[in-house]
Amino acid sequence: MKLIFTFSFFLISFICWAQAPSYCIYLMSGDITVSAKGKPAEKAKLNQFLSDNQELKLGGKAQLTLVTRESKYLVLNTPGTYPVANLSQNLKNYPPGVTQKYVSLLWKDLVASQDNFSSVRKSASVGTMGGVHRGDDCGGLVFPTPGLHTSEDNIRFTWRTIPKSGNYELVILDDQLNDVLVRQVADTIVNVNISKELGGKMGNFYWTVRLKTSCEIDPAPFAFVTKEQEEKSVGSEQAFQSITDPIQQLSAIDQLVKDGWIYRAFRYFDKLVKNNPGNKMLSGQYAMLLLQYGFSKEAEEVYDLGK
Amino acid sequence: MKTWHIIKESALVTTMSLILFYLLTLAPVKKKYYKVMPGGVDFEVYDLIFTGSMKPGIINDTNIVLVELGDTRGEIADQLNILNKYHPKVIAVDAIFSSEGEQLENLKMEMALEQNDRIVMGSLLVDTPALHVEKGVFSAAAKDKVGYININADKMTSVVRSYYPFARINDSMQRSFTSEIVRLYDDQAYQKLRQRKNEIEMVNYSANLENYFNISKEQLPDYDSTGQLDKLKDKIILMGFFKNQPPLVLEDLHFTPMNPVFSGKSFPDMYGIVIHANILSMILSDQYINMASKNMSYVYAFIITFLFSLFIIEAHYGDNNPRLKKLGLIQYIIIVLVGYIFIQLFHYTRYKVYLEPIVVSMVISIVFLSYYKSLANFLHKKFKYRTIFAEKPKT
Repeated sequence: MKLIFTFSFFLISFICWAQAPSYCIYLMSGDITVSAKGKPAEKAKLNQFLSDNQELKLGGKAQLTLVTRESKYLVLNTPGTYPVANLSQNLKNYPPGVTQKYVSLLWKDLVASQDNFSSVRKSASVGTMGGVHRGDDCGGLVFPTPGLHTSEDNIRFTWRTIPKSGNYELVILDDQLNDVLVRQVADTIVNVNISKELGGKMGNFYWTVRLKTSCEIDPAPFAFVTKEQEEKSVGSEQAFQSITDPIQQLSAIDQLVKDGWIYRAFRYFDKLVKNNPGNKMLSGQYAMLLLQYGFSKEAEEVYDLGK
Repeated sequence: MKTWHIIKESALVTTMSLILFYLLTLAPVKKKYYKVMPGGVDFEVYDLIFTGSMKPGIINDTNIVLVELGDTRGEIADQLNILNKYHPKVIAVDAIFSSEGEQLENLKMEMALEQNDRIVMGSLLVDTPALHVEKGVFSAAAKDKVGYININADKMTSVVRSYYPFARINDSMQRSFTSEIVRLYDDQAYQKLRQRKNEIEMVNYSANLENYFNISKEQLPDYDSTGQLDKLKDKIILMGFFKNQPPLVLEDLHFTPMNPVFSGKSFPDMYGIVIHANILSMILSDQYINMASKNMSYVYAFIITFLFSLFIIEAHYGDNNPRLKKLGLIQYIIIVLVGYIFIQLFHYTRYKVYLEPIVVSMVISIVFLSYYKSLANFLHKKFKYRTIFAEKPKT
């Protein structure tokens, strides 16, 4: 009987221990969400317990300190997604041993000859450069142009090709510069249903493209507003259509461009060109505007229309 | 008789090698001579223990919290006001306030300092015109709780391996920044540090910035408003310059043995405030590095070189002209092994022995032996000096 009791006690203890959460949130700052399979992501809370079936997502500049069941502290401060079950790998990540480092030192500095640079050629010859980048396409964001205002659901993000950058990472950040959308992209043009992706969130945002090269592109601000706010700011389309003088219409479009309402300007210009078929000057100007913001295919079509 | 001669001649070769080494260390080329190490300028083989030894993201010492220092005195005063609310045991400001500054900001600082009598301010040990401490404008407000923030490095590119815990200036003893913090935090640990009576302490590095709780200046008000700072109670708060998001900023950034590149040049790896944190961790956990004295190193050098000389003289006895290449290879292997053994000894016991006398005397001994051989033969012919080199090898 005693034996059964003891066995049961250990069995229950073991099961209970296995069920206990693996981590607890000790300190946190920035945009951090927790999600479990089949459940929507929620904002992480202080002292929240985390179990292995959950996933953590850290936005830009977020920092999270977790405490384990064994009272060890683990800090995460790189943006990304972390399955809780994989965090134990960080704790087990042992640095190289003394013997390994000693042998490496002997090999690199005493044995491996560097007279002909053969040992370093592969890694060092393309490792770094003795100069700086100037006039590169590092700041190659094309559209949305800084200061864009729009209520369009779909926004086309365009940037210039950056050599040797591999895949691009399109990032949309909130006004606190926390990542709100990160998307791996192979091309330099991507259409994003901004309304859906941001979950209907409106306001001021930034966007940038992260690269695998040393180039860092400063985020460009843009504002995503409701249709009503747009109408309120720039007036209705009917008001524009009521202007009959094409010069005044062009002037109104120019003002829209200056104020960052580029999509609205495109729409007005489109109407203006269609209402004046064969007007090469108008179609040429519209094509130039489209080209300026990276809409090259559309520019070609408009130019052809004017022929 | 043969054994006695081998022992005598090994002892002679060893002694002379060590004397020659000692004379070399007295020569004005000493520094350059020491620095001729493979791969880099400021390199020490014991650095291997610390190189890349930290586990990223794992907090090592929960007693210490690093807080990024504000840019202005007003900002620092605001930070102190926030921190004071949570009753840390000691707050230490790793900065020098030597200029007069703005009156309003100074007033804010003084008011913040008056709220807490356990705030340590940084001072600076200066040697011109004579050795003295520049305490800065807030030493009085901090009730003279100051400690010099100097670390033992002659220039910015030097590797910081040690520091001076105390400095004697005109019969008064000045405490370093960390010694002053320990005095306020843990008297027992402070007494232990004093009793060691070491002019220089080697730093037993155990962590970099990411292995301490660290709070940026932007995070501090955020943590304060979300009630996360109650964890600061009874901790040591070190306020200094650092950036907890990459890249490293080249201000108050130093080379340490923890640099992932252990030979050759690289980017500095540790902020000054983190070096102080490592010193504190070492003192509070009583994990000091113990240095063997120079004399003790010479004793080790004598024993090892003597055994090596025994081996090569024995080889000479068996074969009057053993191949130098073979001996050189054996010498090389023994030096590598000796280095490895002492590194492992340091790794497990934090007992550090100067390797220079050992390695150099072993290198010299094999060269010296050929000179000794000629000398012994000459003395044998002239004065009947008894040497094994004069005997015919036994067949």
